[in-house]
Amino acid sequence: MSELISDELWEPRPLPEGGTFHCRFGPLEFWLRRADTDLILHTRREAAEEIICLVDSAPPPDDVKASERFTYDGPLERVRAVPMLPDRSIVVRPENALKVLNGQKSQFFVSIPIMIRVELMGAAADDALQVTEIMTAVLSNTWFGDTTGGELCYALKTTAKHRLETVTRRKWRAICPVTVVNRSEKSLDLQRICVQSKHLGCYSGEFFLWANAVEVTHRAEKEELHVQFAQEPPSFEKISRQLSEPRDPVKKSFLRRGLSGFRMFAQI
Amino acid sequence: MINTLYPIFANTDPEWVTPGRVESIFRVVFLLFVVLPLLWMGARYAGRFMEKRYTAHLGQMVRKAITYGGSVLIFIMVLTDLGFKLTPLLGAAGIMGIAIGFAAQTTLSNFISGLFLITEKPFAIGDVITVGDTTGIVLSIDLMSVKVRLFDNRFVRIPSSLLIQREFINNTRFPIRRLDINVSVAYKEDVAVVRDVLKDVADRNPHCLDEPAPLIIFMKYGDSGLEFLFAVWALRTDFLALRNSIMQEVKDAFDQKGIEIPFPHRTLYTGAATEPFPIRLVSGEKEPVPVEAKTVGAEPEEEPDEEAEPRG
Repeated sequence: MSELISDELWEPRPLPEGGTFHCRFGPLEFWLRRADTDLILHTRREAAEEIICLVDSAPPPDDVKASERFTYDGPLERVRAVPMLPDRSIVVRPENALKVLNGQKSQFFVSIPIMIRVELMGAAADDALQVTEIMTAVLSNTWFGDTTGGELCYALKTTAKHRLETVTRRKWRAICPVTVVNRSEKSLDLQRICVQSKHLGCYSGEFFLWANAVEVTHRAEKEELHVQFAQEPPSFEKISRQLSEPRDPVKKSFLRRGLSGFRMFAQI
Repeated sequence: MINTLYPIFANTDPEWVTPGRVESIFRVVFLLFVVLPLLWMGARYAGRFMEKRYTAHLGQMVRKAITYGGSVLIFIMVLTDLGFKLTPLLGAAGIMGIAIGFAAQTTLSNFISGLFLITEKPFAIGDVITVGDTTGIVLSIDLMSVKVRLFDNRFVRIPSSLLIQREFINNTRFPIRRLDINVSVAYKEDVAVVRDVLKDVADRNPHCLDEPAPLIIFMKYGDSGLEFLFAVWALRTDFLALRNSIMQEVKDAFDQKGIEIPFPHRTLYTGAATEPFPIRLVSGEKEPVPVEAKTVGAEPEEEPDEEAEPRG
C-alpha cells in the first residue's frame, strides 16, 4: 500500500525575501525564488515519483535554468501549490477495445496527471493571486471529433482501468471514476473516452487524489449523450477535503454530442 | 434685425441675409461639423460592436455601410440647404448610371461577385488563402475586391470576380491540418523498421496530434528507392512548427538507425545488358586500380567499397 498523502502538502507557507518554494510532483520539479518583487521560476523534468513541497533558503541548482519571471507589487507573503485538473479535456483508451452491451453499464478509473497552480497569498484565505500553472506530466495533443470540427485535448498514454486495484498509485495524478451506461438497443463500441476535466474538482483522499465521478448515458445512436457530474466527492476511499474547485463548474448534468458515424466514441 | 441677432452677418449685404438663408447656413454647419463626425464615430462604434459580437468581416461591412450611406445622405441634405435643385441632378445621375454601367462592365462584375463572396462566406478576415501562386492573409473583403497581405508583407488586391471564377484554397478554414511528407528509403531497407521509425518520430513530436493518427503509406517502388507517404496532423496554428521540426526529426532518426535516404541512381550498360561497364578510378598519387562497377551513382568521387555503408 502506498504512503498516505499529507494534507499539509497543500498548505500555504511563508515565502521570505530570498526564499525558495521548492516542489516536486512526480516528474515535475520546480523552484520559485523570491527576489525583491520578482519571482523567478526554475523547472526541471525527470522520471521520479516522490512529492515534496517546502520553502528553504537554498537556491535552485545551477544546471536548472530560469524558465519564467514574474513581478508583483503587494503584501503577498505566503505561497502555496494547488492541485488542479487539466485545463483541456483528456482522451483515454480503455485497457482493451470493448463493447458495452445494451442495457448494461461499465465503470472505469482514469488516472489524470494534475496541474499545479502556484498561488501567492495574503493574510486572508481568499486573498490569492495566481502566479502560474504547470502540468506535472507533459501530455501529447490529440483531436477529439472530426477533422472539420472538434476539440483539442490531451492524450493519455495510460489506459482507463476497470478495477481500482489495477490503477498505478501515483500521488501526482487524480483518479476520475467514469461510468458508461448503455441504454440503447445496440451494444456501444467504446474506443476512446473523453473526460472534460475542466468540470472536475480535486479532492484529497487517503491514498489518492480524486476527481468528481462522471456518469455518461448513451440512449441511441445519433442522439446526444447525457452526462452527469457528481457534486459530491467519490466514495471509493475516505476523502479528507476538497483541494480545488472545478475550473468551469456545471450543473448536475447536460447533453452533449458524442457519437459520430461508424466510429463510436463516448464523450464525457 | 438679423444683423443684430447674428453679428457674423454685420458686414454682409442686408438683402442677401434672410432668416431662411441664415437657418440654412447654420444647418449646413451643424450637419458638417456635428452630425458628420457623430456619424463617423457611430459607424466606428457599431463596427466594433458587430466585430466583437459576430465577425471582423461583418464589423467592417457595417462600418462602411453606415459611413458611406450616412455621408451620402448628409451630402444630399447639405446640397439641398445650399439651394441646389436635386431633381435634375438625380435625373442626370440616372442617365450617367446607364452610361457608366455599359462602360464599366468589369466593375459591375466585380461588384456582383463581391456580393456573392460576402453572402457565401468562403473565407473570413484573418484566413490564409491561396489564389494561384499567391498565398496570404485576408485583410478585408470588399464589394469590388479582396485585400490580402502576403507573408513577406506585400499587399495584393484580388478582384472579386477572379475569386468567383477561379478555384482558391482556404488554408485555415478547419482547425486541424494534415502535413504530407514524401519519404524515400533505399531498396535494401526493412519496410517494417522504416514504419516503426516514422511512427516513433510522430509520437515524439509535440506538435503532432495523436488523433487523427499519423498515416504511413507505402506508395510505390520508385526509381531510386521505396517511396512512402508520411502524413501527420497538427493544429493549424502549429502547422509551420510541425513542418519545420518533423522534417529534421525524420532525417535525424533515419541517420541514427542507418536508414539510407536514396539519391537518383542510373545504371549504365554498354553493348550487352549483362556485361559490366569497365571504369578506372584514379585517386591521388596512387597507382590506378582497375575496378569493375555495375552501378554508377551521382557522386563519382565516392569510393566503391563505401557504397555499402549507410549514408550519414
